[in-house]
Amino acid sequence: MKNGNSFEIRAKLPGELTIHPGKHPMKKTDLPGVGDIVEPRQEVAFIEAMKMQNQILSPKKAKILEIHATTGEMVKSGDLLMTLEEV
Amino acid sequence: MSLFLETLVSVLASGGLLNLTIGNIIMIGVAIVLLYLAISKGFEPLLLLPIAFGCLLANIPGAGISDEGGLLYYFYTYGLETEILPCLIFMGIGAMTDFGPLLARPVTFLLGAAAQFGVFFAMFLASALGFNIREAASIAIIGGADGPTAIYLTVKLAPHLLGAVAVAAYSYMSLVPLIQPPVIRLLTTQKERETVMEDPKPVSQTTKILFPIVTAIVACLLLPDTTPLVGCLMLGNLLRESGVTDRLFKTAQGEMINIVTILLTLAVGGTMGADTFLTVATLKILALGAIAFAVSTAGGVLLGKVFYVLSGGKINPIIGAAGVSAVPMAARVCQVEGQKANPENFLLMHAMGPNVAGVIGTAVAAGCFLTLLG
Repeated sequence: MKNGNSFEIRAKLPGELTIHPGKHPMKKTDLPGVGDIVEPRQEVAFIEAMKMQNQILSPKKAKILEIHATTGEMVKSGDLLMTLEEV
Repeated sequence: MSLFLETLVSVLASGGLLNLTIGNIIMIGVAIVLLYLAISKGFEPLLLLPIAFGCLLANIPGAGISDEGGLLYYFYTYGLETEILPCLIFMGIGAMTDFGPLLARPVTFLLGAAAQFGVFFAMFLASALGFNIREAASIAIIGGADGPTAIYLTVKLAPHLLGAVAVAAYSYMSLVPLIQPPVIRLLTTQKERETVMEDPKPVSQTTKILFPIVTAIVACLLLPDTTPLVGCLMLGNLLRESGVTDRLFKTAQGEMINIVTILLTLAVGGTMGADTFLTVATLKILALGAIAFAVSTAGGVLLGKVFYVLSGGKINPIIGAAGVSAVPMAARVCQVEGQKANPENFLLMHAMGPNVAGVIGTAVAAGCFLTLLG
């Protein structure tokens, strides 16, 4: 499934995760899920730490291949969140 | 009928309405503005709301709520003058604080110290503006952005300034996101702000347990005047980290600090009577507080820049701004500013190191003032 264009997004800080099928904490819209195409700098997940929702952005335009974590999970810095494929 | 009118007149005359002074009316207005900021704008509502309400009650003529025998008088006399309440707050803060990020990168302790620069700078400025040295120290400590410490020091050195100092300290904490970013941007380059920091090594539980014990011994031996504040802070932290006092930890960081906050903030609000608050000195204090705050931020960021160079570009200088205490608002500002420069930048936890160091730094600065001036 993975090819040379695939890349990973990992947690950048410890905290409580919100990811698909969870909702955007401010806009209350659905966060992108497997198969969705995300734009550069689009929010793909949020990590709440110190009562602050920290946005995790996609670095480039990509298709989400796999999500490795669930909403409500306490993640540590470096935990794998999702695998994407550059499009 | 005439009896009714006479009764009505005598009730009105003895009531508060006819005895309201212009000062009372202005102060009730100030209280309403503070209530508005707390409720509608979310400015530190847990602190500003009860302070504002205490201020409102203190300006009702005839109620005497802050005069000898009044409710808020007792809160002040038994809670603040004795210094019990600020110290209990510090115990709660200790219980709420994870010193892990500081222990993971101990060098950030120095950023918390550098950010006390504004405190000393503001003290000289306040002296130059005509405040005596004890008043100047109480005003300057606002730059540490630590409410309980500011209250603790002011009650000891210049109790007549308590209302103004506390209001400035607490309102500037809510203004952290406005005061700090321009200072950060002025002093750093885009390249410096983009710096992504590596995760530090994890900290062992033994280190976390030893830290409050060792800090209490060292800091209190060096500066015995700081023992009540630092001692309570470290006890609260040991309750958290020891792993064997879970019930006490939960109470200290929950119900205890909440109850104490209500008593402390009402007592502070009660000191905001028109005669003590509506003075030119209050305006000077508000201005000096803002300067102290900005200079403290600058002090932290400038040392952050030194660290940036010394570490070969591995430490983002923005995190120096978190050296003013204001936990965790200042750390959040660092996160926002870092991510503006580079969306891949997550400085929040890195900034918590200097941020919690700032709490200790401000308490130590207060201890220095008490040793020199107390």
